[in-house]
Amino acid sequence: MKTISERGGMRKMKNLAACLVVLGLLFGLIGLALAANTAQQTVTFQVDAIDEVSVSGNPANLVVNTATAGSQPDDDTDNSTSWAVTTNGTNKKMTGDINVDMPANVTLQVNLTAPTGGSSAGDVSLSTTAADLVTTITQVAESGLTITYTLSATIDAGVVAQDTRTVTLTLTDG
Amino acid sequence: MGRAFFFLVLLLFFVTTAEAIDISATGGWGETIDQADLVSGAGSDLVDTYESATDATSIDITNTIDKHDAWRVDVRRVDGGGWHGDFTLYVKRTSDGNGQGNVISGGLSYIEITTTDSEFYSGEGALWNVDVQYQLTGMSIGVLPANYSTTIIFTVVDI
Repeated sequence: MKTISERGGMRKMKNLAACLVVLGLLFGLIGLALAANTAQQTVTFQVDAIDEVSVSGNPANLVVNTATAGSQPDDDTDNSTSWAVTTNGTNKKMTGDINVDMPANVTLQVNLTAPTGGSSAGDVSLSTTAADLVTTITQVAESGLTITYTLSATIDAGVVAQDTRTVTLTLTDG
Repeated sequence: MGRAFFFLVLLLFFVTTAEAIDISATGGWGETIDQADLVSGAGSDLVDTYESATDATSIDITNTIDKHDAWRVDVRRVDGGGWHGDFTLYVKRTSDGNGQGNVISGGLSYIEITTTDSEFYSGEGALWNVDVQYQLTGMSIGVLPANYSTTIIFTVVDI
């Protein structure tokens, strides 16, 4: 037979015990969380724009010196060189120009084989103003793409002394 | 009855706080890819595989109960939207570190870091300066110019 004060003491003790259990569970949860502790590291890759073009060398001399009677002189053609391109960009284009315009009635044309996905403009006459040679070049790495030069002249050109032109091929945004 | 609860709580407190093994990692890995990384200049693709320094990250395990307290380190990655799907990231351990028990095993060959936890290596007791190296594969000119990053999460699990 418990007295009223004994019952009160037991109740207080139970309340205290309940609080301690909650506290214990709280510490337990914290402890479990810490037991699976984590650490972080960051790995970062910066990929820069890459637009690289090269050519295999210079073409042979182009000479216009034959004709069929009754026709304009025959063209001279060279396809001994090639170009290579690597780009990680999209919708790029190749343009071409020469350092000095051709003499009157003499034309220098260039035709670039397009890489996969690109579109060649075919035979393009070169001048000091850049012209599109290949368009829609996107994320490609290819080499051995043929460059074809064609020199042509009409009889109105007369005799033209040997000369040179520097052809500049540029990969740029399309 | 109340006294028993009290001791139980105290016991729980000491046990749980004693199990709180800690892990920390210092370092990281950053790489810039440009035209110098082409296999052979114009017309060629980018080098496919890149490796960090052998000590790109150093990992410490601390707050173990004693030198026989066993643990395991898991690894995963969290991309956060800035990672490229062609990339595959690997990690391996390149040193044994030093510490209480000098017990460590596993992780000496590259394992792929995926988005879910994989067991990396395990050991016993506090252990400092465990060096790790990363490897990335899947780079190509098909990867658009941009910054790509992922967060590597190392988790120590008390076992």
